[in-house]
This record gives sequence, structure tokens and C-alpha cells, in this order.
Amino acid sequence: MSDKGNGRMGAAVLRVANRLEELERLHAFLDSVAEQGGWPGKLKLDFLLCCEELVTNTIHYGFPQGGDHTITITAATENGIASILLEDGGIAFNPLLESKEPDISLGIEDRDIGGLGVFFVKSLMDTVQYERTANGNRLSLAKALTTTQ
Amino acid sequence: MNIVTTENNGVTVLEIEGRLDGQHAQSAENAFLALAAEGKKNFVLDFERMAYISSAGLRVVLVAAKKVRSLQGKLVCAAMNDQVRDVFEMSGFISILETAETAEEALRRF
Repeated sequence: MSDKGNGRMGAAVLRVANRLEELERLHAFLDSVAEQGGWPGKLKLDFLLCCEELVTNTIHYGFPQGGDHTITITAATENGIASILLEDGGIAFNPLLESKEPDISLGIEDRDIGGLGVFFVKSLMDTVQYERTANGNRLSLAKALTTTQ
Repeated sequence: MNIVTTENNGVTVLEIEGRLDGQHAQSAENAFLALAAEGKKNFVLDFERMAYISSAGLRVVLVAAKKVRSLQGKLVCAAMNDQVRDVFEMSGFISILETAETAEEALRRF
């Protein structure tokens, strides 16, 4: 496509079910989005990690009532900014407020993984915004194309 | 993800291929725990062919490290690519786990 590599791309949308097997499709989606948007390799990996952490959280904790639900992932590249919007209809969860900070200085015996995923998101993204909408949770991630190689 | 297990002079090498992510972490943990239950206590986790890790994968590495410590064995993580190294560094795991550039170098530590 003519837009390839110049930092502009229309929005691409992926809808996944609340099952861990769907992470396979998330990886393929990010590959495609990164190629079309001209994202550097490190930027793609950063978004991949952040999306996996957040989608996995939603799959594990978002729907305590069970059943089949959809998580919508919308990616865009505009004005040199890569962005991803994650939307789900799960229980209210603002990861920016509710996650404990992991103590990364602890030794093996005392370490756990709790909070590490959200810590990665806060560390890697330029901006993270949460909004509770009438339909559920909306989390937007953004990072400039130039911040990584 | 696929795991190839080989024995090398009393050290068990787990070569993890593909992605150690939320989708595959449980099967990797089960594979490790089955080996520990067989009496193995010295391990190399060979990441040469591992493309990607997330916190779900880190959790497996932590479970393995804790188990090996309780068995008074040894665990070395070898051949991390840039993504895996970044995640190990961000999480602080790089300073609490023993790492090696290659599986061969890791084996020489035993």
C-alpha cells in the first residue's frame, strides 16, 4: 500500500474472544499493523508485550461471570504516533489506579509476578489513558515512532 | 511454543522454541515441574530459539528458580534475544537469575 512506512495508517481492528488461544491472533495482528504503519521492530515488540499483558488481564479477571465475550483492539498510526485502543465490556478495572507497584529489587524467594504486566505498560508507553464508558473499559496506549529503533 | 529436553552430564537443558506467553506458560510450567518431580534439579533454560516472553513467561521462570533453589540445584538462563533481555531487565530478573550467553557456556557452570 502507498502509505507503507511513512508513519500514516488508517485504523485496523481486531476482535478477539476472551480465551488465551486468541493471543495467537493478537501477535499476527501486531505483525501486520507494524508492517503497514512502518513501526520499528522494538516499537512493535513494546506494543505486543503491553497488549498481551492487558488482554491477558482482561481474559483472566474481566469476566468473573464467565461466558463468551469480545475484546476489541484498534491500532492506528498518525502524525508519527503509534496508538492502540483496547476496549472490553468487562468489570471496571483501571490498571493505572488499581495495580500495585512490583518491588523489582526483591530476591528470588520473595518475588512474585503480580503487577508486573501493568508495570511494563507504564514503563514502555509514552501515554496510557483509561476511561470507564457506558459499555465497559477503554484503555488507550500511545508511543511515538521515533522513541525506539 | 515447543520444548525440546536433553540431558547433558546430569544437567537438563530445556530448549524453548517460539513464544513463552500467556497462551503457552502453563504447558511450559507443567513440563518443568514434571522434570523436577522425576528428580532433576540442575537446569539450563535455553532461549536461543525463543522469540518472545511476557510476564506470564517470567512467572514460569520464577517458579522454576524457586523450585530449583528448594531442591538445592542450579538454574541458568541462556541465549536471550533483545526482547527477552529487555523484559528480564525491566523486571529486575536479570539481577536475581544466573544468565549465560550460550547454552554451552551455561553447561560449563555446573
